[in-house]
Amino acid sequence: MHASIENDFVESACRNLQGHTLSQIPGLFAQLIYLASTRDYLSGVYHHDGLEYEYGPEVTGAALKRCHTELFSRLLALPLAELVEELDAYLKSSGTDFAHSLLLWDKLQIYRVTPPLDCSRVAAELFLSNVKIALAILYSRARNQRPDQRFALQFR
Amino acid sequence: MTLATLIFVLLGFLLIVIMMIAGRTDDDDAPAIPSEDAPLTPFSREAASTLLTRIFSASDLQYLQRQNNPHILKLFRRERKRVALLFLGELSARTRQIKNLHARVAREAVNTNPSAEVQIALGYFSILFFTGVLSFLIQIFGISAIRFLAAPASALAGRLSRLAQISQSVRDLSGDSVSR
Repeated sequence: MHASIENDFVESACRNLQGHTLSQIPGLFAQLIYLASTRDYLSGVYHHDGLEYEYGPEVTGAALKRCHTELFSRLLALPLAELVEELDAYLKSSGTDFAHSLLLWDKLQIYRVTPPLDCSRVAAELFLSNVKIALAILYSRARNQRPDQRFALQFR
Repeated sequence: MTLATLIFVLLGFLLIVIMMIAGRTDDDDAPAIPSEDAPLTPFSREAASTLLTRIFSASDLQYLQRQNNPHILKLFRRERKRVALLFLGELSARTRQIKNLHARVAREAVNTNPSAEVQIALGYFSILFFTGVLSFLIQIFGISAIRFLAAPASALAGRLSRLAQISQSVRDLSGDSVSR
């Protein structure tokens, strides 16, 4: 009974998160980055101030974890062609120089923090591998559009 | 023993050695913590099926071929091969994990079911054998083989699922007999 009530709260927190936060973030990839960023690097526990105020830390953590896992599964199931478009939209959404973002992502492999903790090693590796290939495709497209330009990371 | 028999035995031995070498996955991306100390996530046939669909996807390969970029195609082939071998490596690891867990319980059990034990032993060896064969094919033929291996890999995942069920039911019964 207790587990069932807690599950209802988690469900409600998920809907709240979807309605108020995730719906404001355009694109699945951007949503995944957001959800992964709510997870503490050392404890692996998810935090969200607004949700914690309403539901408490435990329900909030469980809701964020569930949303993260579901979103990751959706992205993992996407054909490579669609994943490329999702990543393209995300990298262009920031307004930063596109080629610079591509090179930065390839060098730092920022996307390695995106898989949820409870996914299998194969699922995580398949996703990371797909992102790596998607980056190569986007870089190739960018080069074809500006063949005369030599891309390089520039730090200010 | 005739010469033909000796050659046959030697070839068989050689094949097993090659398959054992092929069964090893690339250590470049090996985790820092040994896999025995990092518990495996629960195995689900549905999750394995989703992964296999993506790993062995023909549409992804066609999409990559349309890009007309040899570097990207090479990267794709290398990455898919690596992930496919990792998947098979995880299947072997889970099979060994079930066998070890089962052996530990079976040693302490009062009543054992010989037919179930034979089923588990056969299941264990057949999964390891076929995992080795598939890994060998992927190592040798790469992505060309990958396209034809989705069905056998899925069948292996099904075998593992059944092995886990049989082993679990035997362990449950053994637990009962020990407690009694």
